[in-house]
Amino acid sequence: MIEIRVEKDLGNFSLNLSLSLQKGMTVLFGPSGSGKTLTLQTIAGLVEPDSGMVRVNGVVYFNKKEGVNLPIHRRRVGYVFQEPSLFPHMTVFKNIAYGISGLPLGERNQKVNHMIERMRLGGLEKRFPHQISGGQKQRTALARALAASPVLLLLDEPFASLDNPVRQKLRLDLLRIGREDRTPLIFVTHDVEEAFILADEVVVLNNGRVEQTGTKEDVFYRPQTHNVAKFLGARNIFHGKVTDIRPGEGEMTVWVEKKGFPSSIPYREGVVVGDWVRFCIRPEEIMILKADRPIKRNLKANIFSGRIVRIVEKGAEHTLFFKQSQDDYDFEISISNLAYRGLRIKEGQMVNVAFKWESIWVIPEGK
Amino acid sequence: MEIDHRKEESAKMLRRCSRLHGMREFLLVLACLTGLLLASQIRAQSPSAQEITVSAAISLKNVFEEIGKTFMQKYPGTKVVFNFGGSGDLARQIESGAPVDVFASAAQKDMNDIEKKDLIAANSRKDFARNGVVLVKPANSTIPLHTIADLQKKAIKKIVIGNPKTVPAGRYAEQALRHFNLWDTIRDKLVFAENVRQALDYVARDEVDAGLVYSTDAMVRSKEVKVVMKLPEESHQPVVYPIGVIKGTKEESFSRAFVDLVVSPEGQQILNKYGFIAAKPRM
Amino acid sequence: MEEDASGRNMDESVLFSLRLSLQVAIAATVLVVLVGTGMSFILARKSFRGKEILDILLTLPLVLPPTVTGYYLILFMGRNGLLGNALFRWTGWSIMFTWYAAVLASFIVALPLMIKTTRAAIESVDQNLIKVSYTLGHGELKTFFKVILPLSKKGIIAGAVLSFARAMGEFGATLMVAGNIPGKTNTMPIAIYTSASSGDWSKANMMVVFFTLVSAAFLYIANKLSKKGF
Repeated sequence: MIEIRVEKDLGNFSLNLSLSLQKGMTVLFGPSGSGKTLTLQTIAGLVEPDSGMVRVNGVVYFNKKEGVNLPIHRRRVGYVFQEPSLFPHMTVFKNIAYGISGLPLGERNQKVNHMIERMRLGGLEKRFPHQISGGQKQRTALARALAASPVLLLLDEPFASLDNPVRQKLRLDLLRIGREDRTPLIFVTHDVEEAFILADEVVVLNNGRVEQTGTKEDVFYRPQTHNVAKFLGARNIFHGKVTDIRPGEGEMTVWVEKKGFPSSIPYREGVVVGDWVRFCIRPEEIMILKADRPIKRNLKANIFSGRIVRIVEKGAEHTLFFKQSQDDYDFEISISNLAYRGLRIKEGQMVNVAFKWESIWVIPEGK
Repeated sequence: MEIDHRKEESAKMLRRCSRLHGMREFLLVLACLTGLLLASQIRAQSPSAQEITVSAAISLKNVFEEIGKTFMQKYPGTKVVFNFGGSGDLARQIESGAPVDVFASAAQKDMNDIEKKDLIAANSRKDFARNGVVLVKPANSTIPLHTIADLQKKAIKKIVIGNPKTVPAGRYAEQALRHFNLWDTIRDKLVFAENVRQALDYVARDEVDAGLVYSTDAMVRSKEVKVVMKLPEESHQPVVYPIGVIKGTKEESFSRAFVDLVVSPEGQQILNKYGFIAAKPRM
Repeated sequence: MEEDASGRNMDESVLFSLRLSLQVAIAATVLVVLVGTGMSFILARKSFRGKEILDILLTLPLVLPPTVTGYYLILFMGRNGLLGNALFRWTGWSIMFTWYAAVLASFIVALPLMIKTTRAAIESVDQNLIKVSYTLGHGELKTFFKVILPLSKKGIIAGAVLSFARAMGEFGATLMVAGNIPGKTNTMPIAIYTSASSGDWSKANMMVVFFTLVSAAFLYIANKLSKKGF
């Protein structure tokens, strides 16, 4: 159990957050400069907060009021930097053994060899950091941190500088370790895909504050704020005025000002006509309708006619830009290559699209 | 990999910038230094007419400064510049071509060295004073020291004399110590000074327990050093000060005039005042 | 053969001066490395009131003429000096005119050289490595010996070599505090000065040749050491 309540002012940036984290893998997610690294540093003791408290498994690491500030080397918090930061003057073996140099020789060697096996570093024991690849370096850094049996492991975008396939493999390694060791892990990233793959719980940070915490599904499908929706890739976020409410049917109508179209969205308790609301729908949840297919009842609302003004190939999928208003484009639609080939759409073509009702999410306003 | 490449690029750019920057700053500093150099030369380029340089043994410092004032009063428009030091050092300087007009040493040896090299103007060499050698101790010293033989006492740990290799006072001191058969026994306690005034200073500062200097030096710092005894004349070579005009000097007449003043009754009176004894006339 | 004031003949006295210079330089360098490394660590890693002033004080001997440094040394360590006085009253011993004074003079003038190179080397150690060491349970002192020191080795060795060279050549301050005592404190630079002053050019020549060869040999060794990635 990790409890953090810290404030830190750095001139033109201030950190102010309160978190309670459980075991498992917590992902600290947010754009660059949102304070993710700073948060990790206050937990590890690399940065001293101006006020607040940090407590890990009941042990108080920092408490401003009581003047407690446990030095870094007593916190037993493992830290893996974005740059592997291996000791260049030590072999892979010695690097991994660094944190357990107090143990008797036999026990120490056993632990190190065990780590080497777990992290697939066999054969590299006597090599120096400049003689191994980026992926091997990070695996060594991980092994080194884990060998010291930390109570908590912090990872600051550790795979950011690695190639994609290496990154994928290391993520799987990390998941495996998380399950085997049951050491709580806090992982910092700004990559949505990475967050989704790794997280048990996600904490979304923005500008030094927590925007939302929850499961990955929570932040992905049910963003609580405009920012969270934006960061997590809900590309179609609309702002509109409520023109009609039908609480009995759980619906309300919104006029999207900027785009100039009405939309039918799920009713929210307490909303009255004249209120402004924000809602979003993910690009992959917008359907392109085949002209000859019958239209089901719940799709009757939110059917739009317009033109596909731009098609972007993204390797494994296509993104179509749909326009019906005077604006550049109105919706971003994501479809798989398979679907794309089946539809045979070209740029400039007129199509009908529809929102899947269950996928429309009303963002709680005021947050 | 990508990040390393970017780092490399930015490092290259930084180096290029700093090279240009460094160039500008470098030229600016160079210009300033050159300016300063020229400015200093301008001032130095205004010589006072009729200036003579006198290299004299450092034991003559106080007395020659007074004689110099007298000379400049007598011959308005002249300037006497003094160069004091150990006689050996001064002789080496003259041999190496230093622009000196008059040389006064504390021993015949150094003047002989110069004369041998044919550096003295004809008939300009004269003996002008004599001095005595004294044993001194720091004024505040409580160590019982009454005769030169007391130097053997255990309580006397350090004794200063001029460096016999280069300083006349040092040679006289060595002669005296050998004369009293003390040289071998107290040799370990000896500290050498580069000139006799430095020896005097060591005693005055209580860095050493005793020293051998000229009686005229002891007079100059009479408050800080106490004279234990005057060494008998037969214990060392006579301390005779010769003076001479250096050959080829541009101010020959004024140089000779200076020498004349030193040996004149007026000059001798001043020397007397400072404790120097009149020289016996040279043959 | 002609004898000098210590009773040695020319060859013996030349060898003595050489041996003395080496002895003084080695002793001074050992002190400089120990104190200099410690000081560099403090200056590189710690901040405290008066740090600027300490830095300036330690660098002064680099820019002051050796005679000024010698003057200050006399002020402090002379028999009547601020510290020397107490020392003399307690032990009846003064450092003046001993070879220890030569070591002290060389130490003071070489220290800033050592600190400049070592401090730069320590400051260039990757900060992340130091942080990682802390997170792995090693405190400040252990991190210094296991991480910072090994990674600053080149700078420390370069500093030691510079200091040794400076110590070997020290003249002005040494002359003022150790004096020129044949057989006791006449290091080579001083002995060469004396020989030249007294016109003993053959002796001076011999010493200059000796000294140049020995210094060149040390430079060669130092270069080899730094290349090997020692």
